[in-house]
Amino acid sequence: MVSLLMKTIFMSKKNLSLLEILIDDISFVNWAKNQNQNDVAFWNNWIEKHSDKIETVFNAKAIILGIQFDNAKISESKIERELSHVLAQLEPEKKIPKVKKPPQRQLNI
Amino acid sequence: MNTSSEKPLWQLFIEGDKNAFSSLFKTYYSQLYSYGLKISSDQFITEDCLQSFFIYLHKNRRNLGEVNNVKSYLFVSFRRAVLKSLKKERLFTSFEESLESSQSFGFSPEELKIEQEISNTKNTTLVILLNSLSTRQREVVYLKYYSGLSIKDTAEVMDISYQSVLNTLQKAFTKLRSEILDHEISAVLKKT
Repeated sequence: MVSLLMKTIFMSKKNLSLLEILIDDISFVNWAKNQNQNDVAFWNNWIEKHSDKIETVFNAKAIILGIQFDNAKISESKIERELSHVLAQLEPEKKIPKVKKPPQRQLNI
Repeated sequence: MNTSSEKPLWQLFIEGDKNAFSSLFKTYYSQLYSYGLKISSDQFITEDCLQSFFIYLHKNRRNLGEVNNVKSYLFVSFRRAVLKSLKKERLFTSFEESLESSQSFGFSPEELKIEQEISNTKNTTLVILLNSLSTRQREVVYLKYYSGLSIKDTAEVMDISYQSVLNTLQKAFTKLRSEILDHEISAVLKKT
């Protein structure tokens, strides 16, 4: 795969920093995630030839890998309770008669 | 959930559809609550703000302007609402701290997955390192990796430039990486 970085370097002098180019380069992302042997080989080779860029390369890798969080979820019953509080406060300003259809229509989201 | 599937839902909400409102509420309550709690460190303020926020959205739904990305729009507006309410609170408690210097966006070990791609450092250590970053750096890390926003959306939510988010991330990871390395070295040295 021809790296976007190479294309960019050859094609133009856009005002993109190396960091910006790297984090958007699919091939580089593959290297960071150790996902594609060709890309891994390509970038290992590239890094060897550009050892002065090593700081940026490792920062780009860190930004791509990031921090893995275990998101706390609020219980559904709690959300339902909060929702009914809020809905109750919306009611007064609307003069729609009570409809007795089930409250949740299935919305495909 | 992608943006294109959200647009009709948002449209329905604007038109006053209660089910669409409820759907938005249920979809975003948890994420916005976590975000508000990180900003305020106060459960009651966060719950209160979130209720008023959704009531406000409903009441002003016709004047909200163009919304391209529902998630980042909600994050931007809710952030503003929480900060405003904290400011008000401070008038009464004479609490003198801005978001910049505050303890906002503190992390705890339980919030981190056991497996971290960036290092093998224990999460108790990684949390200490994360919490030693500046508040702005912690917020960027939070929005990007906890809330899963793109760099562009993170910039929009924090009202800073794309370049600024990138610089902040770079600074944060430069610091993290060097400290992780220090920790790993000292751990090795202790063993011998």
